[in-house]
Amino acid sequence: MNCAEIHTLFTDYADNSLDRQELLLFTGHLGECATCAAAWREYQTTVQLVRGLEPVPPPADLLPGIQEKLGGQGAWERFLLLFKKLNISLSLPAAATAFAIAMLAGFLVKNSPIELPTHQSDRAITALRPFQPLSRERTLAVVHTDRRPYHPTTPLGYQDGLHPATTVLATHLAAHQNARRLLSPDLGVLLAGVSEQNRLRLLATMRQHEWQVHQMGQGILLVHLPPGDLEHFQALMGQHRSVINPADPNQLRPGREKKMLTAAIRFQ
Amino acid sequence: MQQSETTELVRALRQGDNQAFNRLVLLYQARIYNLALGYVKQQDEAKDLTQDIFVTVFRQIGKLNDDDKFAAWLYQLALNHCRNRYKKLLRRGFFSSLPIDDPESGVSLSTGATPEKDLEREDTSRLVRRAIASLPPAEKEIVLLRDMQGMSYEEISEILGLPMGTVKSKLNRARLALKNRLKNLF
Repeated sequence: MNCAEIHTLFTDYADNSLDRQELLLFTGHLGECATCAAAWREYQTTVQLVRGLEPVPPPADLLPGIQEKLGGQGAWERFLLLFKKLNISLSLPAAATAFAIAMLAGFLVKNSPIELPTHQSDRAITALRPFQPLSRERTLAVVHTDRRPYHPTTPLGYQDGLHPATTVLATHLAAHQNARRLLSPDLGVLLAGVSEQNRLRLLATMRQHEWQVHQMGQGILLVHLPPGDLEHFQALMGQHRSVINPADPNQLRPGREKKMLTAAIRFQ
Repeated sequence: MQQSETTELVRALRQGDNQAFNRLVLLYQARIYNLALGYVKQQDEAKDLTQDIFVTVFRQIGKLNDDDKFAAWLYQLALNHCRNRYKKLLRRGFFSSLPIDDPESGVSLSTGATPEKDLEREDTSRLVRRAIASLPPAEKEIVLLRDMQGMSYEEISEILGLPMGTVKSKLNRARLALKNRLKNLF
């Protein structure tokens, strides 16, 4: 048995757990090797020093501190406790899926307008509330022809001869209503005297052009169309009594290198 | 400490007896506090760590499968807390910020015959604690459990989930490392 092997037996020797043969070899080596004998003495002293360390009494306020921590459970801990009490068991993938769905739902709600846009079917269009017809005495005039700079509170509206007050065509809702995307039309159109049948034809034409049409309530439609279709759009609107703002496409808001234009149409 | 007393208290705690929990804390607080102190070296940290351990005991007592195994479960839970806190403090450079002659190291010695002897013993004790604290966590745990908590190899084997032979060989290695660190005292 060499010195390294002797050192591995120190603990067993200290515990008196060596068998007879190992014990004879161990003690025989220590009797002959002064280095291992000294190492064994140091080992014994080390163990005595460690075991001689007296335990430190715990602080007196340990238990009150525990009670305080238990009493001051946070919202998350209370939620977890409630969850446990309800005995709902969820596997990790199921919990992850539920979390992902909740996050997605939150994202959609946050980024959606108050009135969710709905793609109109012919059937839905026929159910639209009938609009007040515009009398022949009334003349239409667009109030805001110059929309630059664009201000979030600027209404896009019209006045008629009988009612000088501005009737809002499509206003910009406050930012907190999360409606910026849909209520920032590039074009405003007022259509008057369009019969139900003509309205359906108009919508059918828009759908043929594959423009996206959304009903925004109060007789307002939002139409998304590619800039290349602007002429077609203006021609289509021109088939009815209409006012387009701005009438000149060059007056569209600057920096409009958009892939899609948004037009707000109000039926009157 | 009577095993049966612990088992009774654990059963009572399961049934919502908060007094039983307080009794359990009083029974085990010294051992757990000293275990924590051996890990983090600083008394305030050790106190906070011990409190967190018992808070977890209270909240997770339902996870204990066998009431008779409470002590082993408690130590497993305590060691997990100690390891996590140790890593956290290590990342923050906590241990390097402790003074070399650390008055907060939790030294508590029996009174010697003279003030000089007290001082000498205190110095020795501090060096020994520091040497233990400097061991790698796996070896430190075994020294703390065996030599400072007085546990059997079977108990340590159960707590650490290691075969007894491994526990013994690690203990031997840890003691030899301690011997080399404490050479100046011999």
